[in-house]
Amino acid sequence: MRPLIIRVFIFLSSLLLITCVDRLDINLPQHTNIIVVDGMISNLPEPQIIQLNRSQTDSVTGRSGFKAITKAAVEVIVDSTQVIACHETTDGRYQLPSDFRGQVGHTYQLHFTLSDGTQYLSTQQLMQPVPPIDKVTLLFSLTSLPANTGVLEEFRSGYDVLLDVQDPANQRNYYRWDWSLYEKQDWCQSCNQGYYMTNQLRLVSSYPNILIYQTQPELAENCFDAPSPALFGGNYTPLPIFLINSYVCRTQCWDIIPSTTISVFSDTYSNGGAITSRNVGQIPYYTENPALVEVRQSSLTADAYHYFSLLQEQTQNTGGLADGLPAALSGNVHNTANPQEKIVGYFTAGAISSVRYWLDKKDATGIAYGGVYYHPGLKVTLPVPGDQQLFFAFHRALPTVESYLNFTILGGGLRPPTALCVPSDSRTPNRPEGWRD
Amino acid sequence: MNRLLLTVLLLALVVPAIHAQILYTLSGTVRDSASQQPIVRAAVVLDYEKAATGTYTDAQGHFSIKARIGQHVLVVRSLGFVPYRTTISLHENTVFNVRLPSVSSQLEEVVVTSKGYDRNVRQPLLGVSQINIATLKKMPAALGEVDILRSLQMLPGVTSVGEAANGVNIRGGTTDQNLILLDDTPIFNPTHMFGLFSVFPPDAVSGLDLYKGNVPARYGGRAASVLDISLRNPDLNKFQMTGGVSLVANRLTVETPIIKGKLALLVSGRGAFNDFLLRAVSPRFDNIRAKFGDGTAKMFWRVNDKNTVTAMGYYSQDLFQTNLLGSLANVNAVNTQYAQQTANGMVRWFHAFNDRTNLQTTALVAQYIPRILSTEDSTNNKVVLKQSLLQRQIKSNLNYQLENQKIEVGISGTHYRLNPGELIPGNSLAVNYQKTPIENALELGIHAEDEISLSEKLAVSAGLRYSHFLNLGPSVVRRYANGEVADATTVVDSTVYGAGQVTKQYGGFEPRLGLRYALTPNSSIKIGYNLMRQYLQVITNTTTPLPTSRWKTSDAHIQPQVSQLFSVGYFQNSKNNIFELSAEAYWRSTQHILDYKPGADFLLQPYPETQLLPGRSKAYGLEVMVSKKKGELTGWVNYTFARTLNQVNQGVDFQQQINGGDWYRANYDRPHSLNMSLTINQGRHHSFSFNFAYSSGRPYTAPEGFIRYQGRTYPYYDERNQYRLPDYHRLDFAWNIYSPSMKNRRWQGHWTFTVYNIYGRKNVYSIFYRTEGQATNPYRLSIFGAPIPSLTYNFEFK
Repeated sequence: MRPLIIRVFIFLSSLLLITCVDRLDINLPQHTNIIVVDGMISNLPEPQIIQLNRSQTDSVTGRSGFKAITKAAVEVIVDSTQVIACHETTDGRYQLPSDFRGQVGHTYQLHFTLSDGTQYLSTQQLMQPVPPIDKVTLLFSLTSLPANTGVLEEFRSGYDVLLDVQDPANQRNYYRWDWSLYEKQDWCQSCNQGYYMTNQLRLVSSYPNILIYQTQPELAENCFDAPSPALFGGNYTPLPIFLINSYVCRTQCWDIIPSTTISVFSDTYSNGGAITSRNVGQIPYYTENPALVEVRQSSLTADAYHYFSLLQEQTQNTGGLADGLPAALSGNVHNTANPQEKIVGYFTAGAISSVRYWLDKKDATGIAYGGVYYHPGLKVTLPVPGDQQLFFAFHRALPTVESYLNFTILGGGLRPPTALCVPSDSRTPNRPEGWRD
Repeated sequence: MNRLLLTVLLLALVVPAIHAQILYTLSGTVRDSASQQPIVRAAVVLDYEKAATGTYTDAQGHFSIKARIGQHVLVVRSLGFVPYRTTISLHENTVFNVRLPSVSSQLEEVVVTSKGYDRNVRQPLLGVSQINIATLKKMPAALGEVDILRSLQMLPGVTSVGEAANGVNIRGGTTDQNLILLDDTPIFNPTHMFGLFSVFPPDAVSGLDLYKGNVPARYGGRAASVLDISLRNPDLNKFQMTGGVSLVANRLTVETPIIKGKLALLVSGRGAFNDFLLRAVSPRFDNIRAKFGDGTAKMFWRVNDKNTVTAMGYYSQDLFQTNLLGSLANVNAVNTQYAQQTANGMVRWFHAFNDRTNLQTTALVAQYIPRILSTEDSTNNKVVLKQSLLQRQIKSNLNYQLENQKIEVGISGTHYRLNPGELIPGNSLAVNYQKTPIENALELGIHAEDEISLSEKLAVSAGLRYSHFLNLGPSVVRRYANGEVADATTVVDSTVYGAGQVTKQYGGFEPRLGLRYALTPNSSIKIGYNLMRQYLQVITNTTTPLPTSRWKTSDAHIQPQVSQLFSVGYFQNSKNNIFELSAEAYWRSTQHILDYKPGADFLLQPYPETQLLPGRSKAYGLEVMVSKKKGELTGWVNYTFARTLNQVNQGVDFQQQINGGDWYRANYDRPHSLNMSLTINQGRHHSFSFNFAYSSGRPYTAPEGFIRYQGRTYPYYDERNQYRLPDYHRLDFAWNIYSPSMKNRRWQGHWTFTVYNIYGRKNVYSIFYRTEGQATNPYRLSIFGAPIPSLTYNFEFK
């Protein structure tokens, strides 16, 4: 056998192993009519809220709609004995008495009766203790946000929220982590085809084709629709189709941006271990302005953990090979008369420890999501001023200040007015604790 | 008039110039190469590409044709004969005799071959496909890798959930219901890279038998089918080397006699380490690591005329990391890798007592170890979740061959040692060591089979197998309250079993029957019945089992799967066995299939019965196939109608039912499929192959609607598998270029150019919904969403 000298010339043709994920535009027929329960009793001195809604498919359009369930009698049963009633603050939003808060080691159970008399009851949830968060680090990364998610198009810069906690060894722990981002908002209201009015208006004259309104003493603090063309008679100059007027805030105002992913963890494999640098979320790099982040760590019951981890698995999947097949999730609320009725959502109780982190964004590189603006006319990209970046990040358009009214207002001071910072789940006029100026 | 005159004059000047070229006569006789009989009316064509001139042979097979001086392409054709092509250079009147080999004397190119020329019609077995490895090598292959599992899907009744399927579904069976044997050793994970390539080394495989209908009684342990792949015995007299280079993998096979005529060794290896190319193609593949390798060694020792000893070893390893796969929940890790290895070994002693009687005794061991490696951030430490499955088996078969019957009896004993999961923290500061109880089990089998021709028309294959399964301790067996959902809250008591104690046993007969009735010498009707029992299975809640999916032996709570198959078929061959037609219908029913509860988790779960729901399955179908086995054009077309439905109804609670206890579609239920595979052998220089595959999309679960929860929109799932993906279809092309001029050299090379998915259809592998921000959006995933050209160089050294 002669020695072998193998010389192989390799010609590699072009390889395009294209595994692609495309956004789909499908509209499958939907048929749901299901009650959704969302409630968690915490140990924090803040409003304890239970929300009820009905997710229902519109029988005509076939699209999902969400309707608040109003006028329900909602109560929380503490330790199987004490019954505490909730009152409805806004539609579908039921609040426990303002001095009420949960306590570790006690059980909570939700009971509610719909206006038609149907009764629902949750399982008992025992509030577990939660260890304190040892450390939170926010680390800037140009690829923090997952690729191809469609949240902010292809924008991926953001902060990874890394958390350290020492898991207690003497018990089974289930965690859920959430973050809230407080960004300063300078623009409090935008009016589409309309104008912001602090006070109500009354039409006093429409002759000759000139509309005159009188400012009333009653407050409006809302958008006033541009008068209909019919009021003008034949002398109407049409408004631009995209007339959106934006108004700066009267007081300081903060937008509260919640986490958009579910992050849960169980110490099944690491009981008593130190959980270090756990990535519990990604905060998009919306603006260059400093911001405040609150990271919350809640304890969960085993069942609630199981529910949220399945919800996470089903909704944050990658479509690929290792995804578990989606299946109906069973919550812990049941119709007392008809156990076959499926109810979505979970009522649970959890202790919370939280950390507030001042995000000065000095380590950020690249451009913030709201940082530059492409001017279609000049065909250049221009920097967005700091006070407009959050607005631009959310609307992908710069705020336009009201410049022209096609009617006359008597009284009411100079225009444009400032707008009220209306408190809600996503906005507050109250300076958040930990905010630095 | 003048103009006409001018034209005539011009013609008179020009035409002689054309005629100045001399025409010679090419003549000869066309004969049958075997019988030497002249072939009448054979077409003789010169230069068919340019100005084709042609004639037919006369009654004596003579032809005569005139042509100019120079090079000409000559083609001689006649129906039933292999066409003859050559290039001749004509300088004088030439006599050129042609001998055409008859097509019917040619070796078959396509499927269903070996024993007996008309086995299709004569054998009393249904649903048996034998595939010639030479056929497979000509078929277009994805990324140029000859792939047995992918090619098998061109046969009727063999499907999968898609391009990245970790196994195939045969006649409504799950992937783990196929017994896949590589030289008698079981293969638990048949694919590399999550289903992109199969693990069988193409250069070392000699052939494969697929039993999807009648399964001979010597096989047991799986409920649906048997895929028996045999490796080539090394040549006892001649050194030879083959290999190939493709974009994905490089391979080399060497076989060499050690003692000429007595002892020889074959070693075959394949490796794919080119994943850096992926990263070069697109930053999207940045996080992909994909490496695999497999190696086989086979030794054949002819001790003497009556005894031979064969030893085989097989090893395969995979490492895969991608964003497409989830990470290990509850291990705080920054990236996740999947690694698995298979190590199989086998020794077989064959002893011939006489010409009619022989005994084959085989001892084998097969080990499969999948691992999930999670890299921790701070320390770079890898936390390993490991499973391991060890199967040891010894079996013996006695064969006795008579004039018109073949009798076989045999025994076998198999021991399983299964480590269902072990979490190894390495030097992690957080993770604790965890372990699930080891499962030990024994499976014993005894069988007898007789294949007998009762008359010219009637032949029977009757087999009976008895299998007995013992689940052995040490273990803790829980008892659950009657009629309650098995979970931690319904445990009544539990029993502790010591090492070697039997915790549960099952057993039963497995009759196998095949019957053939010949209608004419070229056509027959066959009926078959099969019962098979399966004691080892995969439990998973993914579309296709992952390499790391958990295996589970039957135990006190998980009963063995029992499957019965009824089939009936009609078979017809054309007179000279060029065409073959088969039509088979089947009905299959399986008891104790395993489905999972909504949200099941099997990882490190010591009591998997709490996550499972037993059910039943039914499958039925019709398979029609026409193949052309000889000639210039070979190939087949088949159509399959098949349904697979499951039912799970363990109680009234919705956690104990799937789809309200009604029959629902299995994940791989694809009613219609049409496959076509054609090869055109263009002389000795080229062959062209086309594969076309069509099938209905597989079912998937889409949301019933959307819910608003915690400020976000989430999909709401309820019914399982209520929608179908779009239809799947694809056309592939392969061009094999040989160079016959090198025929006599020791080194021979040939090129294979393939294009997979020529028209670049984005076949949908999955549709899924992802909640992003506050909205939920649908997406679709395509695995091979574009045409994939590839070039492979193959060589042979003798």
